[in-house]
Amino acid sequence: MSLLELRDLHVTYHTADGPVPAVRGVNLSLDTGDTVGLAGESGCGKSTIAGAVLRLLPKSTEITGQVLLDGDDVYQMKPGRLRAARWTSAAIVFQGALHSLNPVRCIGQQIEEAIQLHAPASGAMTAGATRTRVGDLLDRVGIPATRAERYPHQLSGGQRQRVLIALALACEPKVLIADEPTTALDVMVQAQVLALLEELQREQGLALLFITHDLSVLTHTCERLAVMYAGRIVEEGLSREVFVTPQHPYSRALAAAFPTIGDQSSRMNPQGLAGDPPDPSALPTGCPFHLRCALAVPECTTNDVGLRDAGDGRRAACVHVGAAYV
Amino acid sequence: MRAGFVIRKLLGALSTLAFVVVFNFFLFRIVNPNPVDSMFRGRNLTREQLDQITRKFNLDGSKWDQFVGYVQQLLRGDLGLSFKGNRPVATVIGEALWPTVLLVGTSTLLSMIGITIGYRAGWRRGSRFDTASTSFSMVTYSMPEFWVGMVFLGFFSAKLGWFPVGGLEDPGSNATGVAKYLDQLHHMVLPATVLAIAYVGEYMIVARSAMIETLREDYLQLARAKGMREEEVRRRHAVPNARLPVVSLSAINFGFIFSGAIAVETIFSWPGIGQATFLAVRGPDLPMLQGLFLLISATVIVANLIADLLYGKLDPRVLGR
Amino acid sequence: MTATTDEVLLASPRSIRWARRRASAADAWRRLRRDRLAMAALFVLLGFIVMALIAPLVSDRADFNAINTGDNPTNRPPTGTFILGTDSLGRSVALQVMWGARISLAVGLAATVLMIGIGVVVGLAAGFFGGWIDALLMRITDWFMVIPFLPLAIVLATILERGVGTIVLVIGITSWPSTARLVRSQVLSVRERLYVDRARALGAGRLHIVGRHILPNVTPLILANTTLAVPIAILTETTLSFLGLGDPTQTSWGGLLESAGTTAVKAGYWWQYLPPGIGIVMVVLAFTVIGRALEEVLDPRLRER
Repeated sequence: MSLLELRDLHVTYHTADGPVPAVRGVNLSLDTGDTVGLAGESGCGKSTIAGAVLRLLPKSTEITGQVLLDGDDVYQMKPGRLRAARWTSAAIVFQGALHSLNPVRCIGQQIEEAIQLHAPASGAMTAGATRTRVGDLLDRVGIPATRAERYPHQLSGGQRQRVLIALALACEPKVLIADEPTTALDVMVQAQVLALLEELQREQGLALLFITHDLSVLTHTCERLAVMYAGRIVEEGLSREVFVTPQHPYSRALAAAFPTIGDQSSRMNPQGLAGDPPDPSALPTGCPFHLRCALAVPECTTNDVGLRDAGDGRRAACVHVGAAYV
Repeated sequence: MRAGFVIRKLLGALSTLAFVVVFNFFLFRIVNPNPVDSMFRGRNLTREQLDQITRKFNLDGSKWDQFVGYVQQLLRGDLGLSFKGNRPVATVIGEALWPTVLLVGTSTLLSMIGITIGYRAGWRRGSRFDTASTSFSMVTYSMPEFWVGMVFLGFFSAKLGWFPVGGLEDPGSNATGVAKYLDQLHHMVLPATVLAIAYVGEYMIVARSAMIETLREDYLQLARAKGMREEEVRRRHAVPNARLPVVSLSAINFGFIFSGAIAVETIFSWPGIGQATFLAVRGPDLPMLQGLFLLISATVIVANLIADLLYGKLDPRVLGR
Repeated sequence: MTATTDEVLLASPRSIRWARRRASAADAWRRLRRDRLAMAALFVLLGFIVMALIAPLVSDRADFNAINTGDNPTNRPPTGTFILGTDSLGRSVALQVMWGARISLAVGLAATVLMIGIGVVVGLAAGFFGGWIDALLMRITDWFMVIPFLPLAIVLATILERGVGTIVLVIGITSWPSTARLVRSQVLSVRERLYVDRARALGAGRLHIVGRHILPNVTPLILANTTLAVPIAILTETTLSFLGLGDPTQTSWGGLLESAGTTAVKAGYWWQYLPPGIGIVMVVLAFTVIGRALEEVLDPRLRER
């Protein structure tokens, strides 16, 4: 049984301007120790998935399909069970740590809060034990325990992000979802935070779902990779393979946007992708990518093709790829 | 770090106070170095009478001489003598302090219920509760508070006879102890209600927009993700942040405690600072006006200082690294 | 906006700019039209303005001369020819309300223009020049904010000659600080934006930057703020007149309340104090509603998510 499983997930926001389908049929599963990257440009629906897992989306949002945490559908859970599952079954490391932390509470308090919310009714942790645990968590992410009294605005960007990681691990979840955790950081700090995440994942055998628009990061940190476009997964497989031999035209463009160091040809040939990501509330007919695709054929305007088997555990949603995946 | 913050704010307040003393003095003399001439314009007093008043109250001499004299007096705690009956200004003001503090203090506390209403309205933005309370606030904010007083007086007092038409106590009453306080309370109901209605809207609107601003913040989402109940998210994360502008507003409003009630006290013949100001304008009574103005400004400065210090306690970001 | 290539090629930067401005103004107006409450408020406001304008056509100032109205019944409730009754001197309350609208509205608008004018200049200068100019102007602004505004207005009105001009001056001088702060913080945030730096890199002079970049971004805010400042001006004028500091030769709604005074209240002459008050509430409310609607229309951040 997988730790986290998304089955045919559809998420539609209901806004003042009408319904916006952000996620249109996503299937994903994570087991212990799995590291899966979810890549795509802004607006493709990847952040929505993070919110969907812990049922954090606005009340007006329409959700169909299933999100199974430890086998239980999150959307069938009663409020009490849901609250208990949050943070203990799965936790999220948000981006933009300055805004994700409460500015008027010190960081130690905010981590303590998470621990105390899920402390068992009997034998609840004493104040001292909690504080020690907070200290341990901060230590593990490379922040001296004495800094627990500091406020978010007194820490650097990298330190704040580590606090968010420590916070996410406070209740020993088995699934960790990292939603663009390094986006707002400098490159050097990014590398440090990534290294930390990898270390922790290996150490604790966490199932990691890493969401980002930066493909180059994923190839190192994650074993498997799924590329999203317009609310669907358009390619998935082992990350190295997807990056080196992409099957879907979009993945190809995404991979080509990152020049390979040492490869003269990619330096001379910057590959951007013409056009903009589609507006989720006004998707093109057929395959949503066909307007920007160099390999488009007439069939693409009518056939919104699903994932097809491309051999060796690889799947891509393109008419030019293998047989239809059953 | 903290001590530095406190000292900085204290010095700021003192310098502003000094400014106010100077400003207060010269304000009355911007048009004419002899304020008597400006103030008594349009009244039927002969030149002789004006000069008499000037001499009697030491208002002749150059501005600078007068200023030095004024500051010396001030440092002795002497605010001069009122034009009306020669009573020491400080004494008259002293007598008028308590009724105003009582009235404005009570009504401010009452109007703070607007804060809770505002939080609730902001938390449930767009709900019927929100629309209703916002409309109510906008309407009451548009009403001149003394006019509301007139309407209330006309209806509840003159027509229904439920409440007296003014004053702090029934004239000629010998009541003492509890009876006396009850009498004062009875007299206070209308003016306090009027003032409360006038201010509740402001608290409501500020609390509401503070809450709305706070609702945008991502840390609320993180709190929910941790598994917290909605009410707790609101109480432990939203309110402490939404509180900040409201605290500032409250403290500042307390500062305006003496100036806010001028018109209402006049309508209700309430013997407080407000009415004293009105009478001083009518007079005209220069030393009274000067003294009152100084008192009112000083109160605002002190209240602002307290607001700043309180804010520093609630929001660690302003203390500086 | 579709235009032929020729049109685009021949259009000067200025005409393009103006076309863009007209389009965004039209867009803002369209969005404002959708707000029915704001439209109702606008309608009410126009009604009062019309009332104020036709006052001299309906009656003469001489009608208020006590000698003329000596035969009229005093303190009569609304009947027949006197639709709002008469006051203690036999004058028609309805006519006085109409005339009063002129002063209340005129003073309110003039005082607002003054306070916004001072506030914008101070705010622009402080925000744009920065440095010691900013520090100095902000100190002055802070000091002004500390001085309680009504007592200051009262003292000034006592010292200066009584008249409409004084009232306008007094309100304008005491109320500019909050506008100045608002404008300053907006200027500061616009200044941070990249395109100002780029303009400077292109060699743009200061005036150009202020005129072309900063002002257009600050103007919508000022517009909304102005509409919200009018209520303050009108209410202050009302209070000052009520306290006896208004122009003794002119009627304003505040003045009407003053002459009614506690006498009318205690005697039950509700027609003498209710109509002016209701007029004030309606006008102030109308401006507030329009101001808030404008804010929402012009500042995209305030719109509902």
